[in-house]
Amino acid sequence: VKRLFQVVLFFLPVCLAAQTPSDDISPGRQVITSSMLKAAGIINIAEIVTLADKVNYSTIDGFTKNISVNNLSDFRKQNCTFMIDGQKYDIGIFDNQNMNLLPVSVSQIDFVEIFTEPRVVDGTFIEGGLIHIHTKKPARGITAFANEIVGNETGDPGPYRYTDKATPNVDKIGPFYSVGINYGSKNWFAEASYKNEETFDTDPLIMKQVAFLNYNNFKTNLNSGWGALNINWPFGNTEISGGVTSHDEFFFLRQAGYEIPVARAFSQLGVNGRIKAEENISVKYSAAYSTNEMNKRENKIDFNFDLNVKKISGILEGVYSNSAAVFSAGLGFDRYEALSKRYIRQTEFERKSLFASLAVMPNKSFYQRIDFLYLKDRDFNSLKGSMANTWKMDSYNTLSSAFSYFEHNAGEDMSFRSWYERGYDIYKELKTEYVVIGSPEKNKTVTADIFYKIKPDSLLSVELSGGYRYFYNYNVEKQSFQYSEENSVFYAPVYLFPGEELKIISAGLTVNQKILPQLSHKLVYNYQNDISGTGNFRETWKVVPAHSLIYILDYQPVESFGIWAKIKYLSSSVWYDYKYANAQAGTDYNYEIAPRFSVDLSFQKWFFNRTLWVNLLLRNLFNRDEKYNPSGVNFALTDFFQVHFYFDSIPE
Amino acid sequence: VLFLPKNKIFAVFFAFLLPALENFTFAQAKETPFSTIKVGINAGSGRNSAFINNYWKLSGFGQGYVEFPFYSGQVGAGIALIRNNSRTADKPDFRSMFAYIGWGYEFRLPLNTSFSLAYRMGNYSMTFNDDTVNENLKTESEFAAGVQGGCSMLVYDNIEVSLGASYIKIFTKNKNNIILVNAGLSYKFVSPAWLKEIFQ
Repeated sequence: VKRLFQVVLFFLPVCLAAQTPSDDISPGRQVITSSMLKAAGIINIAEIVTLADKVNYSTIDGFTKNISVNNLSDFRKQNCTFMIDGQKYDIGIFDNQNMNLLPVSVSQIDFVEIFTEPRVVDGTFIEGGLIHIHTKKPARGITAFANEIVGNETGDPGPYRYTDKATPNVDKIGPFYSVGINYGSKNWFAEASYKNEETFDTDPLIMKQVAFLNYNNFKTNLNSGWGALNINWPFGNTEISGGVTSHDEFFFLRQAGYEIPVARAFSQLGVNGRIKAEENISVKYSAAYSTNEMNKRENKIDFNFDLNVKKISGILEGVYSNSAAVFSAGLGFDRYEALSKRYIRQTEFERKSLFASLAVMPNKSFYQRIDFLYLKDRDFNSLKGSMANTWKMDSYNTLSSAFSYFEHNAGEDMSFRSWYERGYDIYKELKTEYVVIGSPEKNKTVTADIFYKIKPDSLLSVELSGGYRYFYNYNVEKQSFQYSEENSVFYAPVYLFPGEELKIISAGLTVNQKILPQLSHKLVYNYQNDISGTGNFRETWKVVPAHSLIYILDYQPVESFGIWAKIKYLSSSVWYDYKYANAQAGTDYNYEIAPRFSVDLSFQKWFFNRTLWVNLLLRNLFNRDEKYNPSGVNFALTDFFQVHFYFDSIPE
Repeated sequence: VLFLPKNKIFAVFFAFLLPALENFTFAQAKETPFSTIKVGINAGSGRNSAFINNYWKLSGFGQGYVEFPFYSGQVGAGIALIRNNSRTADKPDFRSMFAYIGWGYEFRLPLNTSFSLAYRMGNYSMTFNDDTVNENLKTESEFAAGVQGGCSMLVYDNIEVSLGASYIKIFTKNKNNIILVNAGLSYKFVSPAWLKEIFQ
C-alpha cells in the first residue's frame, strides 16, 4: 500500500512538505565546473558542449557548433537558450547560434549548468535545452586574470613544399586571449573583461568554399567586452550586466549553401535581481535591451544582410516558497524592431507570455515540478507545459521522469523562415529561392524521459535513461544541393514541407566512478533512432549519429598537476541534402559521414600557488579523420597551449 | 584498441610499461618533485626521412635542456637547433628548432652509470632560407613528438657525460621522421627554494 501511495504521489503534485524543493535534483540537469573545463583544456565558450552528456554537435568550421540537446532538435533548428548569470542572451540569427558571441571568457566561468529537459527557467520555456554560464564571484579586493591560447593543426607541408609532394599550408589557430579585472566588497562587486579570438579558415575544402565571395582574407576576428555590477541589498539583490561582441566572420548560410563574409555584432545591457517582500514571498525581475546585427564585410558581390534586430524584454515573477513547495508565476514581454535599408514587411512585433511553476518536495524522497507557459503574439499563440518527478526510492536508488508538451510558431525564433515570412527576402540576390509547399502550422512536440540512478556509495553512480519524442505538424526544410565545380560551392532552392512528423526513441547510460582519490573516470553512451515518421523528416534527422560514446579518464596525482584523456566515438550520419552534390563533387565530399573515433589528451599544471596555470591539449591524438558535415572541416591532430594568470590578491 | 594500428597499440602499451619498470629498478633513488635540477648540453648529427634526405642533409645539431624529478619519473624541457643543408641548388637550406617538453625515467645502474628513456613533444619550427616567399611563409611550425634514450656516467662530482639517440616524428602532411645521435655533458644540483616555490 505504501509503495502504491508513493507511485500515486509520483504522478500528482502534493503541497504537504518538509523540504524546500531545489533544482539540484531536477532531472536532466548537468553541472560542469571550472575545474572540469580546465582539466579538458577547453579553449572557448562553444567548446563547453564537448563536455555535456546529452548534447550532440556538428560543425562546419571547427569553431562554431550547431547543437542538438537531448534529441530536442537536429542540427538545423538552433533553439537552445543561453544565459549568463540569470540574464538571457538571444544570440541566434538565421538558424545559427554561435556560442562564442557570448561575451565572457572561459577563465571567468565558475560553473555551467545544462538543462536538457524542456521546462520554464526564469520566464523562458527552454524547448531546446538551456546552457547557463555562472561566472565566478570575485573575492574581496581587486582580482584580475589574463590568458593566452594558441593552437596548431598538424598537416603543414614542411620541406615537402619544395618537392613534388607539396601540400597546402594548414596554419595556426588563434591566438585567443582575454583579460579581466574585478573588485569585490562586502555588499557589492564589479567585473569587467575583454576577449579576442582570431581564427583562420585553413582547411583546403573550407578555403575553396570561402573563396567564392571572399577577397583572399581567411581570418576571422572576434572581440568581446563584458561587465557586471552586483549589489546585495538588505531586501534582495540586483545585477546590472552587459556585453558587446563584434565578429568579422564567414557566416555559413545553410539555405544558400556556402559561407558569406559578414560583420556580426551583438550587444546587451540588462538588469536582473530579486526583491524579498516577506519571509516567504519574493519578486524576481529582469529587463534587457539588446541588438543583434548582420552587417557587410568586404565580399565579391557586395552583399549585405543589413539587418539589426533590436529587442527590449522584461520579466516579472512572484515567488512564494515554504518548507514544502515553491510556487512562482509571472509575466514576460519581448518587443522586437528590425532595422534595415531593405524592405521588410513586418519590422516590429511583440510577444507577451504568462507562466507559472509549482515545485513540491513533501519529504526528502520525493520531488515534483509542474511548469506552464502561454505565449501570445499578434499573429499566433502557443502553449507549453512540462512535468518533472524525482523519487528517491531508498538511499541507493532514484527514479526520475520528465514530460513535456509544447507548441512552437515560426515567429518565435530567429530562423531564416521567420524572417522570410516577415518579408525579408535576400534570395534573389543569392540566386536561389524559398518554396513553401502547402500551409505551415505551428509545430507540436511531446517529450517523455525516464531516468533510473543507482548510487551504491559516494564513489560510484550509474544512470540508465530512456526517452521518447513525438514531433508533429512540423515544417521541414529540404534542399538537394548541386555542386558548382567552377566556384566550389553548393546551391539549391529550399523547399519547406509542412505537416511532417517524427517519432524518436533514445536510451542512455552514464557511469561515474572514483577509482582512487586521484583517479576518476566517466562513461557516457547515448543511442537514438527514428522509429516512424514522414519521409522528409526521417531523412533530415539522419544527420544526428545514432550512437555516441564518450569515455573520460581524469588523473590528478597532486593538487597542482593533472592528466585528462577523452575517447570519443560517434557512429555514422547521413546528410541527404548533399546526396547529388556528392556524386558531382567526387571524393572531396561524402554525404555519408563515416564513424568517427578520436582521443584527446590534456595535461595541466599550476605554478606559483595557483597563480599561473598551463595546459597542453592534444586533440585527435591518433590523427584520424574527424568530420562533422559533408562540406565542413576535417580535423587532424591539433595541439593547443594555454597560459592563464590569476591574480587573487592585488593590493588596493 | 580495435581502432588503433599496431604501432599505436605498442605506444599505449609502452606508456603503461615504462612507469611499471620503475618498481623493478633496484637503485632508483626517490627524489621529491623539483628538488634537483639537471642542466645539460649535447650535440651530434642525424638523418631525415629517406625522401627528405634525398634533398637535404641534416648536417648537425646542438641542444640545451633542463630536467627535474617529477611526481613520477622526470620532466624536462629543451631546445634543439638543427641545420639542414640543401643537396641541390634549387632548394633552400633550412634551420629547425625543436622546443619540447618531456617525461621519462632514469634507471640507475652499477658503476655510476644510468639508462634513461623519455617521451618528448613540442613545436618543430622550420625557417627556410628562401627570399622568394613572403616573410610570414619563411617559417613554418608543426607539432612533433618522439622518444629519447641514452646512457650516462657520473665522471666528476655532479657532472655526467652522456651518449644518446632520439627519434622525432614531425607531423607535416607527409611525415618526416628524424633520427639524431648525440653526446654531451650535464650538471645536477639542488634546486633553490624559490624555484621549488614556483612549481607548487
